[in-house]
Amino acid sequence: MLKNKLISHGEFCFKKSDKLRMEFKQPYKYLFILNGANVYILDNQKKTEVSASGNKLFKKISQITISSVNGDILHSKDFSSRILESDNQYLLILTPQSKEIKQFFNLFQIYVSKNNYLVDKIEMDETSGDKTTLIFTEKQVNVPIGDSFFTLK
Amino acid sequence: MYPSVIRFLLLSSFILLAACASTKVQQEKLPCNIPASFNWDTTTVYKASISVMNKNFSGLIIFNRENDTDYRLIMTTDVGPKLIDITLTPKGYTKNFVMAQLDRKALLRMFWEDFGTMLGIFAKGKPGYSDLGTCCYPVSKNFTSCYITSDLKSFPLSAYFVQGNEKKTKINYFCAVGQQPDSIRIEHLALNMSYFLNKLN
Repeated sequence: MLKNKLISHGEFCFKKSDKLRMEFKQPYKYLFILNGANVYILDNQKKTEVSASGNKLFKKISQITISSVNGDILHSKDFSSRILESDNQYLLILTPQSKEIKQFFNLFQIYVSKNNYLVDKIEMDETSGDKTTLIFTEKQVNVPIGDSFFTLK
Repeated sequence: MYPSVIRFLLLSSFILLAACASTKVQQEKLPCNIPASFNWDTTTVYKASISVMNKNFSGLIIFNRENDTDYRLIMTTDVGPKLIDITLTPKGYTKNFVMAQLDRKALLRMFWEDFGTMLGIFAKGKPGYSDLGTCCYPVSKNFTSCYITSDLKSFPLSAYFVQGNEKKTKINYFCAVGQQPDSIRIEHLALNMSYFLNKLN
């Protein structure tokens, strides 16, 4: 719809088994942390804490986010899946089955490197006709990260 | 005593007549126009913080100029997925995509009023009238959008969406001279609700 793509840059960190930190740094600052059943958001110095356990939609989003990172999403009842492959990548095509996800997304496509089995790219086809793509670069594995990195002080 | 009483009565009558006369004189509403005010870029992206009943939400708001009067308003989450996509015109709005939970007529009408006033779509192609230092444009029956400028020519400093005589929404623009606003604050005067927009591109 837009003539130019909107591009944001930042950092994405995952710690087994249920901790995730997504930090947007350019062109704006926004921090999203998922830590077990809790979600923390920092935006314009405003902190928000949400308990995903008390919110069905948040709980679902948390489960999907974590399971897409650790690979469990292939066994999820919320999606039907197909796996394709090329020379250097696997392509996981996930079609939402649950009503909650279907209202937002038509399809997820996850590109996984055959070299290291890490995710290169996630494409999210929205029901609105737009597409959001996450591209992962400069990947590091098994870097020590303290638990405090997944909370807001 | 007698002449002074006469003088007092005459003076009182004159003051009374003058007071009555002044209530019958309609305040003159002069034509005004702020043609250079709203030359927005084709696409403008703002980071938005919305505060409703002391709860905070954030995301991106994108304004896409379709033609002289119509704008496409898109709201997305910070992470990307789209929540609302409507086209704002001087007559109303049309839905391109609205997430089911946000598909409420009152909410979408409020966005039309707020962002329509902010963008100046109600001021395009029709004459305004000055009213107590503001330049006002009729929106629909009983609704007007009014702009306060330093000289009724340049970019507005603030704007109001008005129902009857009651100001419903106040908009403050923060911008360098001759530039599009870097940030905009929209405040609902009767509701505990406000938006703050910061330009990204």
